[in-house]
Amino acid sequence: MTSRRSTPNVTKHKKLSPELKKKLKGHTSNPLTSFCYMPNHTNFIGADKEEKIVLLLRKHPITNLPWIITAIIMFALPLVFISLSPLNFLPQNILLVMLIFWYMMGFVYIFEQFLSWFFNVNIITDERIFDVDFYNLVYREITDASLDHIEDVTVTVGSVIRTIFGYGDITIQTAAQIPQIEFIAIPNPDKVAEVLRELRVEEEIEKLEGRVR
Amino acid sequence: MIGSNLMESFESGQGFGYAFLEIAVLSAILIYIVFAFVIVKQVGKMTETLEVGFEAPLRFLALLHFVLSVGLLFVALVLL
Repeated sequence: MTSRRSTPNVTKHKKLSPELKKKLKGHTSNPLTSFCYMPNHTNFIGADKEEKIVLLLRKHPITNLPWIITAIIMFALPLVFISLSPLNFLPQNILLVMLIFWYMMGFVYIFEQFLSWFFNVNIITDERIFDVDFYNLVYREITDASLDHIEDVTVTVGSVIRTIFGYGDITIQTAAQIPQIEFIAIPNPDKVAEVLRELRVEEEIEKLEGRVR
Repeated sequence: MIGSNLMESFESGQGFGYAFLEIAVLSAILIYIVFAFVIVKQVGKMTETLEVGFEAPLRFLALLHFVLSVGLLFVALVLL
């Protein structure tokens, strides 16, 4: 695909103004998107000033369905308890405090799950790839690798649900200290692989022309 | 015998059983307040890591949750 074009598309798109970027396929200004090509107003820890973000990726929204169902059950549970009256022997004031406490825990469960989805991102810049993971309340792991360290990109789309909703995994083998970076359950994995290919071609052209940063 | 005493204690709102329940609920809320504070710090750390223009609502929600959890402690102290 790249051999048909003298310059990768990504190179041209990077130079576009924010107004023209809006017309690009895959570009959106919605901060809750799981796939954003050439995002505006996006910044992350460890980014260089000259580095431009090409893709911002999160897990496909459908992967949130299990915790949404759990949250609905959590919110419906007190109604079942009230109708079955198994805690009726407790005083009303204690029941009221416990009910408020339960709903606050329900809220915090939803909030935590949302934060986990929102901040566990994969970022592809014109120089590097990043995998940002928050494992629990305080543990953060950021893995990055230069584009010229990428050796192999594997796209995996399995299962019926993944095929229907168009998401899958990308495994990137690198020559860096961490040999493998995985983008899990991301939308449009083929497009992501194509962007990665184009960026690697661009990086090679830059190397040949001696324009490496 | 012990079971029926506890039931009576809960129903009357007096005695060892009720006091134990009160302390348990208040302790749980205190632990929850610490947890809510950790969430505020966590959101701060996350929004420092990634900025996409949605930081203000998240910080507000985390702070609101912390304030509500402190409010719940006051409600519990008044009601129990």
